[in-house]
Amino acid sequence: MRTSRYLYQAIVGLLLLGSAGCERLLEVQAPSQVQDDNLHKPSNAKLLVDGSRAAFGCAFQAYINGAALLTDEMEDTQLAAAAWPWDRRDWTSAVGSGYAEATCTAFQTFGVYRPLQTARFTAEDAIQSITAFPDAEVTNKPQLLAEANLLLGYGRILLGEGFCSAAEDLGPELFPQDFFARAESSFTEAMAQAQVAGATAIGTAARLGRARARLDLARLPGQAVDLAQYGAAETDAALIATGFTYNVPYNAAAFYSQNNIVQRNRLSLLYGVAPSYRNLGDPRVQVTKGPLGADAVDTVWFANKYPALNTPIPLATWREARLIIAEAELAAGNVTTAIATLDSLRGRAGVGLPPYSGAIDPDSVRAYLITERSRELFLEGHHFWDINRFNLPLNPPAGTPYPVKGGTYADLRCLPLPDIERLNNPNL
Amino acid sequence: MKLARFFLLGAGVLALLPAVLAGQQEVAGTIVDAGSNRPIAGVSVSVQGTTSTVRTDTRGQFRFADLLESQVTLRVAALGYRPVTQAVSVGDTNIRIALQQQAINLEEVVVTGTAGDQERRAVGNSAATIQAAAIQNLAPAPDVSSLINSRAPGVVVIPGTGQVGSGPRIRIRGMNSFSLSDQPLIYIDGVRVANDVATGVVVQGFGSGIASRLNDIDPDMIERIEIIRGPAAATLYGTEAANGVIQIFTKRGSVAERPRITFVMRQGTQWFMNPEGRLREPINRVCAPGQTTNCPLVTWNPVRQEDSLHALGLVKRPLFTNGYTSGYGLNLAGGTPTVRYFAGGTFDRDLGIEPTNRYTRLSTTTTLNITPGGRWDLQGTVGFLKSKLDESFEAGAGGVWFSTLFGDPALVHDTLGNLTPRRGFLFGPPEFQWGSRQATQLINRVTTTLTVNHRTLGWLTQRLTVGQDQTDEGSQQLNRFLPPEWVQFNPGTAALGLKFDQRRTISYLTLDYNASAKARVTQDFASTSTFGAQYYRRRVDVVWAQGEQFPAPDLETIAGTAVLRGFDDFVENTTVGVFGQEQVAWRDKLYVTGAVRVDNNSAFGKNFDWVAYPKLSASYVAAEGQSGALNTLKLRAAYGQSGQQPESFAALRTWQPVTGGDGGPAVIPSSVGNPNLAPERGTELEVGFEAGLLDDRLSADFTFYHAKTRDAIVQQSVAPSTGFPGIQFRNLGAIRNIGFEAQLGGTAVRTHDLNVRVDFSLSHNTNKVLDLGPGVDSTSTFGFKKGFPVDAIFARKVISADYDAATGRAINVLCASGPGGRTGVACNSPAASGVFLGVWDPTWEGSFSTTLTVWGRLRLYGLVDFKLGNKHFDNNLRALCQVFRRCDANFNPQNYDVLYIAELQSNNLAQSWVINKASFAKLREVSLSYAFPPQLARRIGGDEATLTLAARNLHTWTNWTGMDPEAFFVTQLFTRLEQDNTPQLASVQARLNITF
Repeated sequence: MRTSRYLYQAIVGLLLLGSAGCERLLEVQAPSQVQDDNLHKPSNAKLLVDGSRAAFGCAFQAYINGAALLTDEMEDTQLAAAAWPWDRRDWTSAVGSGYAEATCTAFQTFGVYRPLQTARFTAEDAIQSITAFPDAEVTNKPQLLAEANLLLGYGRILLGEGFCSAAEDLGPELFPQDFFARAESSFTEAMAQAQVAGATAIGTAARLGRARARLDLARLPGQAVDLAQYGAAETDAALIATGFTYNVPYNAAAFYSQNNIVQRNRLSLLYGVAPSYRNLGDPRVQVTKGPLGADAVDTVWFANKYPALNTPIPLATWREARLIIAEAELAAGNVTTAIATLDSLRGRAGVGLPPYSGAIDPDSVRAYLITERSRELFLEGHHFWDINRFNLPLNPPAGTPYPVKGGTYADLRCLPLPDIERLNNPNL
Repeated sequence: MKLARFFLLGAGVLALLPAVLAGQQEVAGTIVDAGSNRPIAGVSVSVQGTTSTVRTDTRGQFRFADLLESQVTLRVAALGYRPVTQAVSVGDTNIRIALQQQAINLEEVVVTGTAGDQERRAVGNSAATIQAAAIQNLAPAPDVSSLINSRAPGVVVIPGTGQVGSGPRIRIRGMNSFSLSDQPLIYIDGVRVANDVATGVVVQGFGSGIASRLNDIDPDMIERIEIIRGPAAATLYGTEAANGVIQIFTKRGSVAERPRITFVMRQGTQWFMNPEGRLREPINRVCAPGQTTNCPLVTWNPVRQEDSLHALGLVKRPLFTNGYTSGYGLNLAGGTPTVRYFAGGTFDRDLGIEPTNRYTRLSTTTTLNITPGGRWDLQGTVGFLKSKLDESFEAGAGGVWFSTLFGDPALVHDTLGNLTPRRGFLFGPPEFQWGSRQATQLINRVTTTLTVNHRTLGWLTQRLTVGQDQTDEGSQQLNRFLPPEWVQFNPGTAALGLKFDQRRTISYLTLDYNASAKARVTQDFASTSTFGAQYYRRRVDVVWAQGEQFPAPDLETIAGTAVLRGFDDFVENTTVGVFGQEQVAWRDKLYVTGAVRVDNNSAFGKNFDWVAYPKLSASYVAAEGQSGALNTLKLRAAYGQSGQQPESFAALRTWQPVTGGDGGPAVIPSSVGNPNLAPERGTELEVGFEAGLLDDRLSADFTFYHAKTRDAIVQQSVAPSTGFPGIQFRNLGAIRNIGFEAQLGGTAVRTHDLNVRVDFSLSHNTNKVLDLGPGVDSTSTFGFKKGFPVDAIFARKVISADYDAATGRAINVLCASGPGGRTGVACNSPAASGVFLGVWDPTWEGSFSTTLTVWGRLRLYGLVDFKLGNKHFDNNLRALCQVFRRCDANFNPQNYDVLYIAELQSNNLAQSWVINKASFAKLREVSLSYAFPPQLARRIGGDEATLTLAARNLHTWTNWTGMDPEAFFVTQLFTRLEQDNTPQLASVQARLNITF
């Protein structure tokens, strides 16, 4: 009888649960994820900007690595065929292409389009949310907005420099000049907010970012040079003090936060410095011969610039500012000033290279400028765009057989708008 | 604690057995086959009106003791025989009952998919039953998937790799979803259990583990398996059952005078059949010492090479060796009318063909059936498993297969003619592959079930099932600190090694209640009303840790590494459902059943609440017990719905915590979510019949089904410009599956000395994508396409090319484009079409088996199964020719069709050259079984003894270009791609069963 009573109680209990308590029974947690509703609160303002910085950092190292492979800065030393289009320069926009869809943390087939979009969106989302929060509820609101705008600006710079076209927030197709113009606005806003906050480093980095945006607008691929933009770029660049450096930090604690250029180059032996940058006798481009790579064929050359997983990557430096000034001067016809600016840069303490001794016609000096940019900004994510905007010859030339792994080098100068965007964006 | 008390009570009752058995009043006798007059073993004999049931021994004998009445009615039932009910006098110990063979047994009880137990006559849908215990005596299967394979039409077992301890995917009635799991639900004795596939260390590279939880279950502990195949039958299982349900019933004790002890021992071996002939030989130009030009082409056969080196004592073992297999089992079964018990355990140890592949399993099952009074009965089961699976690396994860298949003849000797350290193997010789890495999965699993039946009133019965299945799974990989001589094979920090350990606890909780009320409305009409409620909860807890870079050799723990990472996490999913069912029966001939199930699941979007699944079925017994050409005929039809819930957190918009570059916490977008997300809804109509023909010599079972999945969840890629990664689950699609399943079995010869039984099964499935969302015809060039099968293969195909003899290259290469693929465009053009080349999974599958029984004791059994109509991707060929360029076609392209050469040289743009027919037939099982005469059995100390010699996978008939049409990545839902996978192994084993 007692058992019978227990059973009846169980049945009644079950029915009660079924009728009244189902919603509670169905409650589950997502313990490792932050739900959207819980995130966008004033108390999380700093966390939103921290996320923007983290997303940008991951995308930035992947962009530099990819752009280095697309140019002659780095070469492939691994066996995953899906990643060879980086080095072979033959990415197509097709669905599944790694450059568009892979993560920035992947070692072999890493991506840049989605990571850059995530970085851009995260910064924009932080700006929108923090702007809407009451001032009194957000600590250091101007500084947070300044940094988010800075990161948004650089996200747009890289989308413009790396891609033939792209989009923002399911919007229409945007071309490099559109991204540079939007970046310019972001940097201007970052400078304004930084001034309110007294955040000098962010403000200076934003100014240099704006100089870069204007430089990019001054010389777009296949278009006439815009001297006004050059002048505006030089104006900003001239205000950057010698020695200024704004780094993107990295941390060895996690794949997402680490400098994966180091992981891929030194630790996993997947990609090495290409022949064009070996043994140059230039202290700005130092390399070390390593072991055979993961493909068991090619020797991996290490980039001494990035020795450890936590080595920061320069985002904005006074060196870049001087190169912008030199280029603007050259565009304005001031060849001597351009040469002097470049000579001063390469002759500085710690580098000590002799001054330029070649011809002083504009084309020769431009070649000098481009070489100096490639050395000074080695593995900092500039060379791919330089090849495109200066229409430089590709090295190796398109059509050259791709050694060992098959196929031939292609002629990609900007990454195409991926089909994953085109097919899923209703405005394209 | 309550459970412990329950079993203590059972143990106490067991201890009282001898007293209970004293002073018996007996009936006893023999059950024989009416045709051959031979005794029948394993027949269920029960005393009507009681719960007393016994099974006959190998002499066909049974005995009941302690009967209180002067006369009792015996009910005798056996698989394949017409049940007999016969009144006997208590005290008669010489009863002889002859059973007539029966092709179809409509009184067989079906449990799965029904509200309460139902006789087969009342079930309107098809339900496959596999008599596991009987099969294990005839052709012992090494695991549950082998037991199921080819024994239930429409249930396709997809193995993937031949490594010991691996488990397959199982697909029932085609493809019902674009993106969700295709695995059926698995129940043990009414309790839902883990059905994960492709678990453990990613030893197959590119994301695939090889272990499945289904194969944890020891086939020797199973009495029978019931399989229901689709929504029409699975409605009562609700929102997770669209892929069908497999229910396993463990062995139970039966009433016996004394406990029966059964000892089982098996010994055997398995091997890679004809490796020399099946491994494609890499080819390259190899220069003799001093030679630099006109070097001859040389092929490389690694198996022969290693055999030779082993014979010379230069290497420790051949490339592949025979794997020793063994197992030992001990069962104890028996009981009284009040308490029945079964306790069994087995220990298995199987070795693969590589030294890194080993499987050790200890499993026990204990079942108690207690009938304390006329109204109550309880069944409790506790299953325990402890296993260790050592896995070899294969596929994209490297290992011996990768190094062997893509080896290089030019790497065998150095310029002086001496053997190189690699000996031709791509990434290092076999001893390096085996010695440098090991993957392991450790399992501790406990499954407890308790079912209480209560016959509350004459017209009201209730059943409550509670249970839990908990699997503690430890997946470990150890990459050892390499000795100096091996560093060259894996340089960099990889040479310092790593260790990772993932601990998952997978827990399923089941609460299942139903109550049935029966009423005789008129003399002709009866009604059965059933109400039920279920609660299912699945929770997976994960702790993961990884350490990299051992500072010195011989360290093997994560604590001994320099760089440590780790995380923990858990995922929960719950389902709450209720159902109501009404069944009306007319004269025990016509049964009409209507039901509705209502479910909610924690994975549904917040804008989506309950989902209701209706069901309507009917069965009509048109003939029963007749003689002549048509003996039994049951017609049936069923319509029903069930669902498939989304991934646990697919509805939520979430952000993922990450480490920032400054080392602090940060969050980034993770999942875009979909608040409107609903379950997929499968709707199915099936019609069929079961018939006994030609004086019950022939049985026929046929089912036609038409199933449609609506609101099929499409993983729609999210445009990256949204900022969110990955995919969004959306209810956009529709899929249709149409097919049939047929089984024909019969006794071709039935004499006193010879019995020949022949069985044939055949199933066919075609499926089609009906919808992909508004205005969407395809998800991508090579993705799902409206109007084509879900598993359609689309690839670029070269349609014209010229051959340039000077360069040895195909030129002017054009790929198919435009309608019908008749227009040619450059293969790298976005206009190049994905040409439909076929489907990945077989559209036809079936089997043919014969059992020859001589003198009632010697049985010869053979089973051939086949899968037809599909293609696979031969990535071994592609990688060898296209990536490593070590095929004859690379060196002698002039000897090949220019279209073939053009695709080979297309850098993987065109793929039709490696997508080839994969239909096959396999001689899957052959066995010779001998049941010892009692006097001979007694000589070896037992009452009964059976010796079985069984072999598997002895021959394959196929045109597949790769090693094995059953070798591919276990984890892949649709694509079947063979790359460096272990083929299915041939095996032979001897098995001895002795019952005391």
